[in-house]
Amino acid sequence: MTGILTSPIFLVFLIVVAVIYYFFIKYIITISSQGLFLITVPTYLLYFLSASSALLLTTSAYSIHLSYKYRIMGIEDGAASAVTTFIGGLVTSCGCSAPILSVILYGVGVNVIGVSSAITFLAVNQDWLLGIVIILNLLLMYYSLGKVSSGCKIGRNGKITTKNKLR
Amino acid sequence: MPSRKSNSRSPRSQSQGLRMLCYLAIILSVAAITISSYSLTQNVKTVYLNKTVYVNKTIYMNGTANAILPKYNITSSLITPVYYLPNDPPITINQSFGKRLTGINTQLNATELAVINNASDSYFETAGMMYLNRSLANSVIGTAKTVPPVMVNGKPSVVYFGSITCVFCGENRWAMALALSRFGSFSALFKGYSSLGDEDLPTLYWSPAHYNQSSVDLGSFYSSNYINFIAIEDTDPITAGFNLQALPTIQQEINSTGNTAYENSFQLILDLNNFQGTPYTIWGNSQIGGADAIDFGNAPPTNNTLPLTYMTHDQVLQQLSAPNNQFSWTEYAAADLYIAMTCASIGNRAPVCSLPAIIAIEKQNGY
Repeated sequence: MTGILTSPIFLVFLIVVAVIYYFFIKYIITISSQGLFLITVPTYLLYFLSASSALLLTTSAYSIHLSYKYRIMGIEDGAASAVTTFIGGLVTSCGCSAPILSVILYGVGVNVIGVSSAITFLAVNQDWLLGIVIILNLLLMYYSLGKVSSGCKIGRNGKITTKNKLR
Repeated sequence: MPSRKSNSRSPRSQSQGLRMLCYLAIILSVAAITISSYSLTQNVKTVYLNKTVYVNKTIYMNGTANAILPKYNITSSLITPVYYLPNDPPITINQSFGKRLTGINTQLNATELAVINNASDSYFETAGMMYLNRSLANSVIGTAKTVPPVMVNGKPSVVYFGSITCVFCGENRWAMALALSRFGSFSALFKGYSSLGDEDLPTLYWSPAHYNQSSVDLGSFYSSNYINFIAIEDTDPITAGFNLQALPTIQQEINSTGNTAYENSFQLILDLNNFQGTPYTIWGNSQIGGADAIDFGNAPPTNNTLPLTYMTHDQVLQQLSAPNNQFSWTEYAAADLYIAMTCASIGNRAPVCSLPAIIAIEKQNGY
Protein backbone atom coordinates (compact mmCIF):
# COMPACT_ATOMS: atom_id res chain seq x y z
CA MET A 1 0.00 0.00 0.00
CA THR A 2 2.85 2.34 0.90
CA GLY A 3 4.34 1.55 -2.49
CA ILE A 4 1.21 2.83 -4.20
CA LEU A 5 0.95 5.99 -2.14
CA THR A 6 4.63 6.90 -2.43
CA SER A 7 4.86 6.35 -6.15
CA PRO A 8 3.85 9.52 -8.06
CA ILE A 9 2.75 7.50 -11.08
CA PHE A 10 0.43 5.24 -9.08
CA LEU A 11 -0.84 8.19 -7.07
CA VAL A 12 -1.78 10.09 -10.23
CA PHE A 13 -3.28 6.90 -11.66
CA LEU A 14 -5.35 6.45 -8.48
CA ILE A 15 -6.72 9.99 -8.59
CA VAL A 16 -7.50 9.88 -12.31
CA VAL A 17 -9.31 6.53 -12.00
CA ALA A 18 -11.26 7.76 -8.96
CA VAL A 19 -12.47 10.80 -10.91
CA ILE A 20 -13.36 8.69 -13.97
CA TYR A 21 -15.23 6.18 -11.83
CA TYR A 22 -17.11 9.00 -10.08
CA PHE A 23 -18.31 10.39 -13.42
CA PHE A 24 -19.19 6.89 -14.57
CA ILE A 25 -21.43 6.41 -11.51
CA LYS A 26 -22.90 9.87 -12.04
CA TYR A 27 -23.65 8.98 -15.65
CA ILE A 28 -25.48 5.77 -14.67
CA ILE A 29 -27.55 7.66 -12.09
CA THR A 30 -28.38 10.42 -14.56
CA ILE A 31 -29.58 7.98 -17.21
CA SER A 32 -31.63 6.06 -14.66
CA SER A 33 -33.25 9.20 -13.27
CA GLN A 34 -34.44 10.54 -16.63
CA GLY A 35 -31.54 12.95 -17.00
CA LEU A 36 -31.32 14.07 -13.38
CA PHE A 37 -28.51 13.44 -10.96
CA LEU A 38 -30.94 12.52 -8.23
CA ILE A 39 -29.56 10.48 -5.35
CA THR A 40 -31.17 9.28 -2.16
CA VAL A 41 -27.97 8.00 -0.53
CA PRO A 42 -25.48 10.18 1.32
CA THR A 43 -23.06 11.73 -1.19
CA TYR A 44 -20.03 10.54 0.78
CA LEU A 45 -20.99 6.94 -0.07
CA LEU A 46 -20.55 7.77 -3.75
CA TYR A 47 -17.13 9.22 -3.03
CA PHE A 48 -16.21 6.12 -1.01
CA LEU A 49 -17.39 3.87 -3.82
CA SER A 50 -15.37 5.62 -6.51
CA ALA A 51 -12.32 5.85 -4.20
CA SER A 52 -12.46 2.19 -3.18
CA SER A 53 -12.94 1.03 -6.78
CA ALA A 54 -10.04 3.22 -7.89
CA LEU A 55 -7.87 1.81 -5.09
CA LEU A 56 -8.70 -1.71 -6.18
CA LEU A 57 -7.79 -0.96 -9.79
CA THR A 58 -4.56 0.74 -8.71
CA THR A 59 -3.70 -2.22 -6.49
CA SER A 60 -4.24 -4.56 -9.42
CA ALA A 61 -1.93 -2.48 -11.60
CA TYR A 62 0.60 -2.38 -8.77
CA SER A 63 0.57 -6.13 -8.25
CA ILE A 64 1.28 -6.65 -11.96
CA HIS A 65 4.05 -4.07 -11.74
CA LEU A 66 5.65 -5.97 -8.84
CA SER A 67 5.52 -9.47 -10.16
CA TYR A 68 4.19 -11.38 -13.13
CA LYS A 69 3.13 -14.08 -10.68
CA TYR A 70 0.14 -11.97 -9.69
CA ARG A 71 -0.87 -10.99 -13.18
CA ILE A 72 -4.07 -13.07 -13.27
CA MET A 73 -5.09 -11.79 -9.84
CA GLY A 74 -4.32 -8.27 -11.01
CA ILE A 75 -6.47 -8.59 -14.12
CA GLU A 76 -9.30 -10.10 -12.08
CA ASP A 77 -9.14 -7.28 -9.55
CA GLY A 78 -9.07 -4.69 -12.32
CA ALA A 79 -12.19 -6.15 -13.91
CA ALA A 80 -13.80 -6.51 -10.47
CA SER A 81 -13.28 -2.82 -9.79
CA ALA A 82 -15.25 -1.90 -12.94
CA VAL A 83 -17.98 -4.40 -12.08
CA THR A 84 -18.39 -3.15 -8.51
CA THR A 85 -18.49 0.44 -9.77
CA PHE A 86 -21.25 -0.45 -12.21
CA ILE A 87 -23.21 -2.39 -9.58
CA GLY A 88 -22.77 0.47 -7.11
CA GLY A 89 -24.06 2.89 -9.74
CA LEU A 90 -27.08 0.69 -10.40
CA VAL A 91 -27.87 0.41 -6.69
CA THR A 92 -27.53 4.17 -6.20
CA SER A 93 -29.67 4.98 -9.23
CA CYS A 94 -32.54 2.80 -8.07
CA GLY A 95 -35.49 4.93 -7.05
CA CYS A 96 -39.05 5.41 -8.33
CA SER A 97 -37.85 4.00 -11.61
CA ALA A 98 -34.86 1.93 -12.65
CA PRO A 99 -34.75 1.62 -16.44
CA ILE A 100 -31.19 0.25 -16.69
CA LEU A 101 -31.77 -2.42 -14.08
CA SER A 102 -35.13 -3.25 -15.66
CA VAL A 103 -33.57 -3.68 -19.11
CA ILE A 104 -31.02 -6.10 -17.62
CA LEU A 105 -33.59 -8.07 -15.65
CA TYR A 106 -36.16 -8.29 -18.45
CA GLY A 107 -33.26 -9.25 -20.72
CA VAL A 108 -32.45 -12.30 -18.59
CA GLY A 109 -36.09 -13.34 -18.44
CA VAL A 110 -37.24 -11.90 -15.12
CA ASN A 111 -40.92 -10.96 -15.20
CA VAL A 112 -42.66 -7.79 -14.07
CA ILE A 113 -43.10 -9.02 -10.49
CA GLY A 114 -39.42 -9.88 -10.17
CA VAL A 115 -38.38 -6.57 -11.68
CA SER A 116 -40.63 -4.52 -9.41
CA SER A 117 -39.45 -6.48 -6.36
CA ALA A 118 -35.81 -5.89 -7.32
CA ILE A 119 -36.42 -2.16 -7.79
CA THR A 120 -38.10 -1.89 -4.40
CA PHE A 121 -35.47 -4.01 -2.65
CA LEU A 122 -32.61 -1.97 -4.04
CA ALA A 123 -34.35 1.35 -3.44
CA VAL A 124 -35.18 0.52 0.17
CA ASN A 125 -31.79 -1.01 1.03
CA GLN A 126 -29.58 1.33 -0.99
CA ASP A 127 -27.36 2.54 1.82
CA TRP A 128 -26.19 -0.75 3.20
CA LEU A 129 -26.00 -2.43 -0.23
CA LEU A 130 -23.69 0.34 -1.34
CA GLY A 131 -21.74 -0.21 1.88
CA ILE A 132 -21.37 -3.90 1.00
CA VAL A 133 -20.02 -3.03 -2.46
CA ILE A 134 -17.48 -0.66 -0.90
CA ILE A 135 -16.44 -3.29 1.67
CA LEU A 136 -16.13 -5.85 -1.14
CA ASN A 137 -13.76 -3.52 -2.96
CA LEU A 138 -11.68 -3.08 0.17
CA LEU A 139 -11.64 -6.81 0.94
CA LEU A 140 -10.46 -7.64 -2.57
CA MET A 141 -7.79 -5.00 -2.26
CA TYR A 142 -6.72 -6.28 1.15
CA TYR A 143 -6.55 -9.84 -0.16
CA SER A 144 -4.48 -8.80 -3.17
CA LEU A 145 -2.09 -6.68 -1.13
CA GLY A 146 -1.71 -9.53 1.35
CA LYS A 147 -0.82 -11.94 -1.43
CA VAL A 148 1.58 -9.52 -3.03
CA SER A 149 3.33 -8.61 0.22
CA SER A 150 3.74 -12.29 1.16
CA GLY A 151 5.68 -12.71 -2.07
CA CYS A 152 7.85 -9.63 -1.50
CA LYS A 153 10.81 -8.69 0.59
CA ILE A 154 12.24 -5.31 1.41
CA GLY A 155 15.81 -4.90 0.36
CA ARG A 156 18.58 -3.06 2.21
CA ASN A 157 17.99 -0.02 0.08
CA GLY A 158 14.37 0.04 1.25
CA LYS A 159 13.03 -0.97 -2.16
CA ILE A 160 10.47 -3.71 -2.50
CA THR A 161 11.57 -6.69 -4.48
CA THR A 162 9.73 -9.90 -5.16
CA LYS A 163 10.95 -13.37 -4.41
CA ASN A 164 9.56 -14.60 -7.67
CA LYS A 165 10.64 -11.83 -9.95
CA LEU A 166 12.28 -12.95 -13.17
CA ARG A 167 15.90 -11.99 -13.39
CA MET B 1 24.78 -16.89 -35.39
CA PRO B 2 23.75 -13.28 -35.56
CA SER B 3 20.15 -13.96 -36.52
CA ARG B 4 19.61 -16.35 -33.57
CA LYS B 5 21.11 -13.78 -31.22
CA SER B 6 18.77 -11.06 -32.39
CA ASN B 7 15.70 -13.32 -31.94
CA SER B 8 16.46 -14.41 -28.41
CA ARG B 9 14.99 -12.21 -25.68
CA SER B 10 16.30 -11.80 -22.18
CA PRO B 11 14.16 -12.92 -19.21
CA ARG B 12 13.92 -9.26 -18.17
CA SER B 13 12.41 -8.20 -21.48
CA GLN B 14 10.09 -11.23 -21.34
CA SER B 15 8.95 -10.07 -17.93
CA GLN B 16 8.42 -6.54 -19.28
CA GLY B 17 6.39 -7.96 -22.14
CA LEU B 18 4.24 -10.02 -19.81
CA ARG B 19 3.69 -7.02 -17.61
CA MET B 20 2.58 -4.91 -20.56
CA LEU B 21 0.26 -7.70 -21.61
CA CYS B 22 -1.28 -7.72 -18.13
CA TYR B 23 -1.73 -3.95 -18.17
CA LEU B 24 -3.38 -4.28 -21.54
CA ALA B 25 -5.65 -7.02 -20.20
CA ILE B 26 -6.72 -4.78 -17.31
CA ILE B 27 -7.41 -1.88 -19.64
CA LEU B 28 -9.37 -4.13 -21.99
CA SER B 29 -11.42 -5.76 -19.24
CA VAL B 30 -12.28 -2.42 -17.60
CA ALA B 31 -13.04 -0.91 -21.01
CA ALA B 32 -15.22 -3.88 -21.97
CA ILE B 33 -17.28 -3.59 -18.82
CA THR B 34 -17.56 0.17 -19.15
CA ILE B 35 -18.54 0.01 -22.83
CA SER B 36 -21.15 -2.70 -22.15
CA SER B 37 -22.63 -0.56 -19.38
CA TYR B 38 -22.58 2.46 -21.67
CA SER B 39 -24.29 0.63 -24.52
CA LEU B 40 -26.88 -0.62 -22.05
CA THR B 41 -27.61 2.93 -20.94
CA GLN B 42 -27.76 4.03 -24.58
CA ASN B 43 -30.34 1.32 -25.14
CA VAL B 44 -32.35 2.75 -22.23
CA LYS B 45 -32.02 6.24 -23.72
CA THR B 46 -33.24 4.97 -27.08
CA VAL B 47 -36.25 3.36 -25.45
CA TYR B 48 -37.05 6.72 -23.87
CA LEU B 49 -36.64 8.74 -27.01
CA ASN B 50 -38.33 6.59 -29.63
CA LYS B 51 -41.94 5.72 -29.90
CA THR B 52 -42.38 1.97 -29.95
CA VAL B 53 -45.57 0.57 -31.39
CA TYR B 54 -46.59 -2.85 -30.20
CA VAL B 55 -49.86 -3.20 -32.00
CA ASN B 56 -51.27 -4.62 -35.17
CA LYS B 57 -54.72 -4.26 -36.61
CA THR B 58 -56.38 -7.19 -34.97
CA ILE B 59 -54.37 -8.28 -31.98
CA TYR B 60 -52.36 -6.47 -29.39
CA MET B 61 -48.96 -7.80 -28.66
CA ASN B 62 -46.73 -7.58 -25.67
CA GLY B 63 -43.45 -6.13 -26.86
CA THR B 64 -41.24 -8.45 -24.86
CA ALA B 65 -42.94 -11.80 -25.13
CA ASN B 66 -45.30 -11.45 -28.09
CA ALA B 67 -48.07 -12.74 -25.88
CA ILE B 68 -51.54 -11.86 -27.11
CA LEU B 69 -53.25 -9.53 -24.69
CA PRO B 70 -57.01 -9.49 -24.29
CA LYS B 71 -59.09 -6.45 -25.20
CA TYR B 72 -60.72 -5.18 -22.04
CA ASN B 73 -64.35 -4.14 -22.45
CA ILE B 74 -65.92 -4.02 -19.04
CA THR B 75 -69.13 -2.82 -17.50
CA SER B 76 -68.30 -1.78 -13.98
CA SER B 77 -68.76 0.95 -11.43
CA LEU B 78 -65.68 2.93 -10.40
CA ILE B 79 -64.41 3.27 -6.86
CA THR B 80 -65.30 6.42 -4.96
CA PRO B 81 -62.90 6.95 -2.07
CA VAL B 82 -63.64 8.51 1.32
CA TYR B 83 -62.97 12.17 2.14
CA TYR B 84 -61.28 11.54 5.46
CA LEU B 85 -59.00 8.87 6.92
CA PRO B 86 -59.01 8.90 10.74
CA ASN B 87 -55.56 7.29 11.01
CA ASP B 88 -54.05 9.67 8.47
CA PRO B 89 -55.53 13.05 9.35
CA PRO B 90 -54.56 16.36 7.74
CA ILE B 91 -51.49 17.94 9.31
CA THR B 92 -52.04 21.59 10.06
CA ILE B 93 -48.84 22.65 11.80
CA ASN B 94 -46.38 24.61 9.73
CA GLN B 95 -43.22 22.59 9.04
CA SER B 96 -39.98 23.57 7.37
CA PHE B 97 -39.17 22.71 3.75
CA GLY B 98 -37.52 19.34 3.26
CA LYS B 99 -39.37 17.96 6.30
CA ARG B 100 -42.71 19.41 5.38
CA LEU B 101 -46.06 17.65 5.46
CA THR B 102 -48.09 20.76 6.16
CA GLY B 103 -51.59 20.43 4.76
CA ILE B 104 -51.22 16.77 3.75
CA ASN B 105 -54.62 15.17 3.05
CA THR B 106 -56.30 18.58 3.14
CA GLN B 107 -58.94 19.00 0.46
CA LEU B 108 -58.33 21.80 -2.02
CA ASN B 109 -60.76 24.66 -1.51
CA ALA B 110 -62.99 25.88 -4.35
CA THR B 111 -60.51 28.55 -5.52
CA GLU B 112 -57.61 26.09 -5.53
CA LEU B 113 -59.65 23.43 -7.30
CA ALA B 114 -60.69 25.95 -9.94
CA VAL B 115 -57.03 26.43 -10.91
CA ILE B 116 -57.02 22.82 -12.07
CA ASN B 117 -60.58 22.47 -13.33
CA ASN B 118 -60.87 25.85 -15.05
CA ALA B 119 -57.41 26.37 -16.51
CA SER B 120 -57.61 28.36 -19.70
CA ASP B 121 -57.22 26.50 -22.99
CA SER B 122 -54.84 29.26 -24.08
CA TYR B 123 -52.30 28.05 -21.50
CA PHE B 124 -52.38 24.57 -23.02
CA GLU B 125 -52.07 26.05 -26.50
CA THR B 126 -49.10 28.29 -25.61
CA ALA B 127 -47.29 25.49 -23.75
CA GLY B 128 -47.98 23.07 -26.60
CA MET B 129 -46.42 25.47 -29.08
CA MET B 130 -43.43 25.90 -26.77
CA TYR B 131 -43.02 22.12 -26.74
CA LEU B 132 -43.28 21.97 -30.52
CA ASN B 133 -40.83 24.77 -31.16
CA ARG B 134 -38.49 23.45 -28.46
CA SER B 135 -38.44 26.58 -26.34
CA LEU B 136 -38.95 24.78 -23.04
CA ALA B 137 -35.96 24.62 -20.74
CA ASN B 138 -37.09 21.41 -19.02
CA SER B 139 -37.42 18.13 -20.85
CA VAL B 140 -40.82 16.85 -21.94
CA ILE B 141 -40.74 13.29 -23.19
CA GLY B 142 -43.22 12.09 -25.78
CA THR B 143 -42.37 8.40 -25.80
CA ALA B 144 -45.36 6.09 -25.66
CA LYS B 145 -46.15 2.49 -26.39
CA THR B 146 -49.42 1.53 -28.00
CA VAL B 147 -51.40 -0.83 -25.81
CA PRO B 148 -54.95 -2.15 -25.70
CA PRO B 149 -57.20 0.43 -24.04
CA VAL B 150 -59.16 -0.52 -20.94
CA MET B 151 -62.75 0.17 -22.01
CA VAL B 152 -65.07 0.63 -19.07
CA ASN B 153 -68.72 1.40 -19.68
CA GLY B 154 -67.92 2.13 -23.32
CA LYS B 155 -65.24 4.73 -22.53
CA PRO B 156 -61.46 4.33 -22.71
CA SER B 157 -59.63 4.72 -19.41
CA VAL B 158 -56.71 6.62 -18.06
CA VAL B 159 -54.96 4.16 -15.75
CA TYR B 160 -52.54 5.52 -13.19
CA PHE B 161 -50.27 3.39 -11.01
CA GLY B 162 -48.02 5.33 -8.67
CA SER B 163 -46.71 5.67 -5.17
CA ILE B 164 -47.21 8.55 -2.77
CA THR B 165 -43.56 8.16 -1.72
CA CYS B 166 -42.17 8.68 -5.22
CA VAL B 167 -40.67 11.99 -6.35
CA PHE B 168 -41.51 11.60 -10.06
CA CYS B 169 -45.13 10.66 -9.23
CA GLY B 170 -45.32 13.80 -7.10
CA GLU B 171 -44.21 16.04 -9.94
CA ASN B 172 -46.27 14.16 -12.52
CA ARG B 173 -49.64 14.46 -10.73
CA TRP B 174 -49.76 18.23 -11.39
CA ALA B 175 -49.57 17.66 -15.16
CA MET B 176 -51.94 14.71 -14.95
CA ALA B 177 -54.56 16.73 -13.08
CA LEU B 178 -54.33 19.52 -15.65
CA ALA B 179 -54.68 17.03 -18.51
CA LEU B 180 -57.61 15.18 -16.96
CA SER B 181 -59.42 18.46 -16.32
CA ARG B 182 -59.72 18.95 -20.11
CA PHE B 183 -61.96 15.88 -20.40
CA GLY B 184 -63.98 16.22 -17.20
CA SER B 185 -63.61 17.67 -13.73
CA PHE B 186 -62.51 16.88 -10.21
CA SER B 187 -65.02 17.44 -7.43
CA ALA B 188 -62.17 17.05 -4.93
CA LEU B 189 -58.39 16.91 -4.89
CA PHE B 190 -56.08 16.76 -1.89
CA LYS B 191 -52.76 18.27 -0.93
CA GLY B 192 -49.94 15.78 -0.70
CA TYR B 193 -46.17 15.33 -0.73
CA SER B 194 -43.63 12.86 -2.00
CA SER B 195 -41.86 11.12 0.88
CA LEU B 196 -39.45 13.04 3.09
CA GLY B 197 -36.67 10.73 1.88
CA ASP B 198 -37.57 11.35 -1.76
CA GLU B 199 -37.41 15.14 -2.03
CA ASP B 200 -40.60 16.07 -0.12
CA LEU B 201 -42.27 17.68 -3.14
CA PRO B 202 -45.66 19.34 -2.85
CA THR B 203 -48.16 17.45 -5.00
CA LEU B 204 -51.80 16.54 -5.39
CA TYR B 205 -53.38 13.33 -4.17
CA TRP B 206 -56.40 11.89 -5.97
CA SER B 207 -57.90 10.97 -2.61
CA PRO B 208 -56.78 11.17 1.03
CA ALA B 209 -53.70 8.98 1.32
CA HIS B 210 -52.79 6.36 3.92
CA TYR B 211 -49.56 8.22 4.49
CA ASN B 212 -48.76 6.48 7.77
CA GLN B 213 -48.96 2.90 6.53
CA SER B 214 -48.49 0.48 3.67
CA SER B 215 -51.74 0.29 1.78
CA VAL B 216 -53.28 0.82 -1.64
CA ASP B 217 -55.50 3.85 -2.25
CA LEU B 218 -57.96 3.36 -5.08
CA GLY B 219 -60.20 5.82 -6.86
CA SER B 220 -60.64 9.53 -7.26
CA PHE B 221 -63.32 12.21 -7.34
CA TYR B 222 -63.11 12.62 -11.10
CA SER B 223 -65.92 12.38 -13.64
CA SER B 224 -65.91 12.70 -17.41
CA ASN B 225 -68.14 12.02 -20.39
CA TYR B 226 -65.19 10.87 -22.46
CA ILE B 227 -62.92 8.80 -20.27
CA ASN B 228 -62.62 6.95 -16.95
CA PHE B 229 -59.86 7.64 -14.51
CA ILE B 230 -58.59 4.56 -12.69
CA ALA B 231 -56.16 5.62 -9.98
CA ILE B 232 -54.08 3.04 -8.13
CA GLU B 233 -51.79 4.58 -5.54
CA ASP B 234 -49.43 2.55 -3.40
CA THR B 235 -48.86 4.07 0.02
CA ASP B 236 -46.08 3.63 2.53
CA PRO B 237 -44.97 5.75 5.50
CA ILE B 238 -44.38 9.21 4.06
CA THR B 239 -41.67 10.01 6.61
CA ALA B 240 -39.34 7.36 5.13
CA GLY B 241 -38.03 7.14 1.54
CA PHE B 242 -39.37 5.72 -1.70
CA ASN B 243 -41.05 2.37 -1.30
CA LEU B 244 -43.36 0.18 -3.31
CA GLN B 245 -45.17 -2.86 -2.04
CA ALA B 246 -44.77 -6.10 -3.98
CA LEU B 247 -47.04 -6.14 -7.01
CA PRO B 248 -48.81 -9.37 -5.91
CA THR B 249 -49.67 -7.66 -2.61
CA ILE B 250 -51.09 -4.69 -4.48
CA GLN B 251 -53.01 -6.99 -6.81
CA GLN B 252 -54.41 -8.92 -3.87
CA GLU B 253 -55.66 -5.71 -2.31
CA ILE B 254 -57.23 -4.57 -5.59
CA ASN B 255 -58.89 -7.95 -6.13
CA SER B 256 -60.34 -7.83 -2.63
CA THR B 257 -62.50 -4.88 -3.73
CA GLY B 258 -64.16 -7.03 -6.39
CA ASN B 259 -64.11 -4.07 -8.79
CA THR B 260 -63.51 -5.47 -12.27
CA ALA B 261 -62.38 -2.14 -13.75
CA TYR B 262 -59.52 -1.94 -11.26
CA GLU B 263 -58.78 -5.66 -11.36
CA ASN B 264 -58.49 -5.68 -15.15
CA SER B 265 -56.50 -2.46 -15.29
CA PHE B 266 -53.89 -3.82 -12.91
CA GLN B 267 -53.87 -7.16 -14.70
CA LEU B 268 -53.09 -5.29 -17.92
CA ILE B 269 -50.12 -3.60 -16.24
CA LEU B 270 -48.81 -7.02 -15.22
CA ASP B 271 -49.51 -8.54 -18.64
CA LEU B 272 -47.67 -5.79 -20.48
CA ASN B 273 -44.58 -6.93 -18.57
CA ASN B 274 -42.71 -3.66 -19.07
CA PHE B 275 -43.01 -1.99 -15.66
CA GLN B 276 -39.81 -0.09 -14.86
CA GLY B 277 -41.00 1.87 -11.87
CA THR B 278 -43.51 4.50 -10.93
CA PRO B 279 -45.38 6.46 -12.21
CA TYR B 280 -46.85 4.10 -14.79
CA THR B 281 -49.74 5.48 -16.79
CA ILE B 282 -51.98 4.39 -19.65
CA TRP B 283 -53.81 7.13 -21.56
CA GLY B 284 -56.36 5.32 -23.67
CA ASN B 285 -54.13 3.29 -25.93
CA SER B 286 -50.84 4.99 -25.10
CA GLN B 287 -48.69 3.75 -22.25
CA ILE B 288 -46.00 5.83 -20.60
CA GLY B 289 -43.30 4.43 -18.36
CA GLY B 290 -42.29 7.17 -15.95
CA ALA B 291 -43.26 10.81 -15.91
CA ASP B 292 -43.58 12.58 -19.27
CA ALA B 293 -41.68 15.63 -18.05
CA ILE B 294 -38.80 16.48 -15.77
CA ASP B 295 -40.13 19.64 -14.20
CA PHE B 296 -38.76 20.55 -10.80
CA GLY B 297 -38.20 24.26 -11.37
CA ASN B 298 -37.40 26.78 -14.05
CA ALA B 299 -34.39 24.84 -15.33
CA PRO B 300 -33.19 21.25 -15.24
CA PRO B 301 -31.68 20.69 -11.79
CA THR B 302 -27.94 20.30 -11.71
CA ASN B 303 -27.77 18.86 -8.22
CA ASN B 304 -29.84 17.04 -5.67
CA THR B 305 -31.68 20.16 -4.50
CA LEU B 306 -34.96 20.56 -6.34
CA PRO B 307 -36.57 24.03 -6.36
CA LEU B 308 -40.04 22.45 -6.20
CA THR B 309 -39.20 21.08 -2.74
CA TYR B 310 -39.08 24.66 -1.51
CA MET B 311 -42.47 25.66 -2.87
CA THR B 312 -45.81 25.51 -1.09
CA HIS B 313 -48.98 24.19 -2.72
CA ASP B 314 -50.25 27.76 -2.88
CA GLN B 315 -47.15 28.87 -4.77
CA VAL B 316 -47.48 26.02 -7.28
CA LEU B 317 -51.18 26.72 -7.79
CA GLN B 318 -50.47 30.43 -8.14
CA GLN B 319 -47.93 29.72 -10.87
CA LEU B 320 -50.33 27.39 -12.65
CA SER B 321 -53.15 29.93 -12.45
CA ALA B 322 -51.05 32.51 -14.32
CA PRO B 323 -48.18 30.69 -16.01
CA ASN B 324 -45.24 32.96 -16.71
CA ASN B 325 -42.18 30.80 -16.10
CA GLN B 326 -40.58 27.62 -17.36
CA PHE B 327 -41.87 25.53 -14.47
CA SER B 328 -45.53 26.30 -15.13
CA TRP B 329 -45.25 26.14 -18.92
CA THR B 330 -43.59 22.74 -18.65
CA GLU B 331 -46.44 21.44 -16.48
CA TYR B 332 -48.92 22.56 -19.15
CA ALA B 333 -46.76 21.09 -21.92
CA ALA B 334 -46.54 17.78 -20.04
CA ALA B 335 -50.32 17.89 -19.73
CA ASP B 336 -50.56 18.57 -23.48
CA LEU B 337 -48.82 15.29 -24.27
CA TYR B 338 -51.28 13.39 -22.10
CA ILE B 339 -54.14 15.29 -23.72
CA ALA B 340 -52.89 14.42 -27.20
CA MET B 341 -52.66 10.73 -26.28
CA THR B 342 -56.16 10.77 -24.82
CA CYS B 343 -57.59 12.68 -27.80
CA ALA B 344 -56.19 10.03 -30.12
CA SER B 345 -57.96 7.37 -28.05
CA ILE B 346 -61.38 9.05 -28.07
CA GLY B 347 -61.45 10.04 -31.74
CA ASN B 348 -60.69 13.69 -30.91
CA ARG B 349 -64.24 14.24 -29.64
CA ALA B 350 -63.42 16.54 -26.70
CA PRO B 351 -63.22 20.32 -27.40
CA VAL B 352 -59.57 20.46 -26.25
CA CYS B 353 -58.63 18.10 -29.10
CA SER B 354 -59.27 20.86 -31.62
CA LEU B 355 -56.51 23.09 -30.22
CA PRO B 356 -53.88 23.51 -32.97
CA ALA B 357 -51.08 22.57 -30.58
CA ILE B 358 -52.81 19.33 -29.57
CA ILE B 359 -53.46 18.40 -33.21
CA ALA B 360 -49.81 19.11 -34.02
CA ILE B 361 -48.48 17.10 -31.04
CA GLU B 362 -50.73 14.18 -31.91
CA LYS B 363 -49.42 14.25 -35.46
CA GLN B 364 -45.78 14.81 -34.55
CA ASN B 365 -45.64 12.08 -31.90
CA GLY B 366 -47.87 9.70 -33.84
CA TYR B 367 -50.27 8.89 -30.99
